[in-house]
Amino acid sequence: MCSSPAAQCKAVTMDVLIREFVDEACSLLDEVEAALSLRAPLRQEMTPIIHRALHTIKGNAGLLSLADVATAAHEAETAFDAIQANSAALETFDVAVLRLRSTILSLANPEAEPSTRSSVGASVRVGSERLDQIHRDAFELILWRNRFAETLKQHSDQQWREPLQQLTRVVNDLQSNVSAAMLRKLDHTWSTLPRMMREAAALHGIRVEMECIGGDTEVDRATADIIVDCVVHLARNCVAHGIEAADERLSKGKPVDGQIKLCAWQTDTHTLVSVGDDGRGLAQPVQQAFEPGCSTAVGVSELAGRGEGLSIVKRLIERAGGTVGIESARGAGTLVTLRIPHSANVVECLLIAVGDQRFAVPYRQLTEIVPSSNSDTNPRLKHLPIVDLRERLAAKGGRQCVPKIAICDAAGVAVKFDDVLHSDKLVVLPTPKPLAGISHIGGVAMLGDGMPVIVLHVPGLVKGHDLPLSCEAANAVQDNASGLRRWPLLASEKKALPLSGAEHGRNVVLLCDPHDQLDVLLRPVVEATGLQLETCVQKIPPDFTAYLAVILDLQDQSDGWLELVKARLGACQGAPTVIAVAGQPDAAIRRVARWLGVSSLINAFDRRRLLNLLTQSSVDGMAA
Amino acid sequence: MVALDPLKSMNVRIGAETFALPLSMVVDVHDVGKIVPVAGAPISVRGLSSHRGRVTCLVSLADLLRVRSNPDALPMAVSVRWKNDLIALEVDAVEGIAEASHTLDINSILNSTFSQSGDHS
Repeated sequence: MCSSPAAQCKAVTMDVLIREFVDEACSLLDEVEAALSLRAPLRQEMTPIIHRALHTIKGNAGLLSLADVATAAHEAETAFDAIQANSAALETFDVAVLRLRSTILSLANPEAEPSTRSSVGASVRVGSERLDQIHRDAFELILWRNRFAETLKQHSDQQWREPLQQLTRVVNDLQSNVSAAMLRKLDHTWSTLPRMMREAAALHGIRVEMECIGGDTEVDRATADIIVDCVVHLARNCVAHGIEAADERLSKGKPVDGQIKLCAWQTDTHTLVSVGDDGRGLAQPVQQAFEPGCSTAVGVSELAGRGEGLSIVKRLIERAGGTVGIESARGAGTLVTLRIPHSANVVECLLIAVGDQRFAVPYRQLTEIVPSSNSDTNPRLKHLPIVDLRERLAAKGGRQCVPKIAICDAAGVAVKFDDVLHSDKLVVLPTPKPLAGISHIGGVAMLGDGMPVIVLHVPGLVKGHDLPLSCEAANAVQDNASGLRRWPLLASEKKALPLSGAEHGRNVVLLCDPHDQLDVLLRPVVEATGLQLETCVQKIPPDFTAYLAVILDLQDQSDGWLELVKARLGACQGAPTVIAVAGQPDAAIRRVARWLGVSSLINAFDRRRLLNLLTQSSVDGMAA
Repeated sequence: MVALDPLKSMNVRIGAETFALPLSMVVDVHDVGKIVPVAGAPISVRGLSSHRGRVTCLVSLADLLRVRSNPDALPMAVSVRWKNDLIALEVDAVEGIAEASHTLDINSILNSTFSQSGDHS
C-alpha cells in the first residue's frame, strides 16, 4: 500500500528527529556517566549536570511521544534523587542509566537508513564543527572585505573597484549560503509540542490549547537545541502549575481551555522566545521561581514537581550569554521570555557620526532620516520624543554640519546625530559581558579600518528603557507577518500621491544598485507611491525606455559601469526620469551626475525628495 | 605530606605594586591601541579596543583592585579569558612570567564587579 507524499514526508521528518534525539541523548548520558566516574566530593559538584541531562532527555522524549524513554528517564531521575537522599546505593542509579541507554539505543534502526538516504537525495552529512568553522571563516572574510574596501577608499585606486565589487558579491553570496546551511526553522523542532501538551493536560485532568507563532524563525542548530529544551520545560510548567482545572477557570470567568502561547521572533542581535499562559500566575515571588528545588507541585510526576525546570532554563540560557525574564500576575497568567544573543550576525547598518565617534544603526530600526533644519515641518516628529545622541552618549568634538534626525517608528523615538557616514554590512557580535547591562548597546562590530564600533539598540536609548517585552513581541510578530518592515505613509502624503502608475502602462521604476545596498532603503518609498521597483545589481537592462524612472546609485562606482549607464541613457533620449542618489553627494559625485546628464541628485536617505520626484514623474507619465 | 606545586603566573605592575595573574587565564599581551569610549559603562571599563581581528573590552586592573596606577606609564593590555569571552586588562607594565604561591583570583574579581550595576558611571 502506498502512503501519501505528505505522510512519507512526515515519516522522514520523524526519522530525522528521532535520530537527532538518539545522538543528543547518548551524548548527555556520556556526560552523566563521566560525572558518575568521579570521586564522591567532585561528583557532588556535577549534580546539576546530571539533573539537567536526565530532565532534558525526559522532556525531549515526551515531545517525540517516546513513552518508554520518558518513563526510563523518570525512573533514572527518581534513582538519582534517592542517592542524593542517601536512601539508595549508587549501583541502583547505574542500572537505571543503563536501562535508559538501552531503551534509547533500541530506537536507532539501521535498516531504515538506506530508504532515508535515498529520499534525502543529494544531501551530504557534514560535521557540525566543520560547518561552524566554515561559518566563522565566512564572517572573517566579510571583515577582511570591509578592511580591503576601506584601504582602497583611502588610496582612491580606480583599477581595484570592479574586482572589489565582484569580491563583495561573492562574499555576500557565500555568507548567505553558509548561513542558510546553518539555520533551522523552529517549527521543525516544536511542531509536535501542541499535541504533547494536550496529552499531558489530559493526564492532569485539564484542557489546553497551544498556539505557536513565529515557527519560521531561523536559528542555528545549537540555539535551536537550547530553545527546544527550554520551551519543553516551560510548556510543561504551564500545564503542571499554571493552567487551572475547568471548574476553577469557569468560576473565574475564563474559557474552559487553558491558553498557552509560544512566540518566537528576532531582532538584529537577539532571538527572543516567549512562553505564556492564562493560568493562575506564580504563587511565589518571581525572583524565587528560578531557584533549584522551587516547585508548587504537590507531588513528583513525569511532568513536573522536582523544581528543576526553571532553574535548568536559566542555566541553559545564561550559558548561551542570554537572559530570562518573567512576568506574572496572580489569576492572570505567567509570561517567560528568553533572550538569546546571536553568536554572530551579518546586519546591514548605517554608520553615523556623533561628535568624534562613530556608531552603527541597523537599517531595520530606521524609518526615515531628515535634516534637523526640516524638523519643524515634518509632522511625524511632532509626535516623537527626540533623543540627542551627543548628549545621551556623552560625545564631544566632531564635524560642524547640520545635524540629522533619524525617525525610528518601531522604537517610538527619533534620534538626533551629527552626520551620515556610509552604509556597510557588518558582522555584529554579542555585547562584551562587562557592557551587557547597557540598554542602548545591541552588539559590537569591527569596521573596515580595524576599529571597533558600537551597534546601537535604538529602543534602549529611551530613558527608563525598554518597551515591555510583550509589546516588543507584538511589534515583531507584526513585522514577521509583513516580511520586510514598510515605511507607513502619513495621511497628508497619501493625499499628495497621484493615481497608480499602472493606469498609464509604465509603472516600474528601475534601481541600478551595483553594491546591492539601497534596495532595502528605497523599495518602501517606491512601493508606497503605487509603483513597482526592479533592482539590477549586476546586469544593466539593455533598454531604459520601458521604465517610468531610473534611480542610479552613484556612490563609489567604477568607470566602466558609469560608461555603460551613460550609453544606455543616451540610447533612450531622456525618456525616463533619472534620479541619481548617493550616500555622500560630494563635489566628485556632482561632477559625475553632470557628466551623465542627470537632472536630480539627492541624498540616498532623503526620502521626502525621492517621494516628490517619483510623484512628479508619475504625473508627467500620465500627461504623456 | 603533599607539597603544593608553585603556580605559574604573569607578573604585572600597577603603580608601585606587582600583582601575579594566573598564567592559565592569560591569552595574549599587547599594546592598548586606540580605544572607543563607551557611554554608560562601568567606571573600570576604559572602552572597546580591537586586537588580532577581535573586539575586546578594555578594563583597568587598577580600578578593579582599587589601587593607584602610574599616570606616566605607557599601559599594556593583558587579555584573559572570562566566561567564554576575552577581556583585556590594562596594566602599567608586564614584568614577565614567574612562579608564585598565590595569584589574583581574576574570575571572582570580574564576577563580583560586573554582576552588579552599581559600578556604572
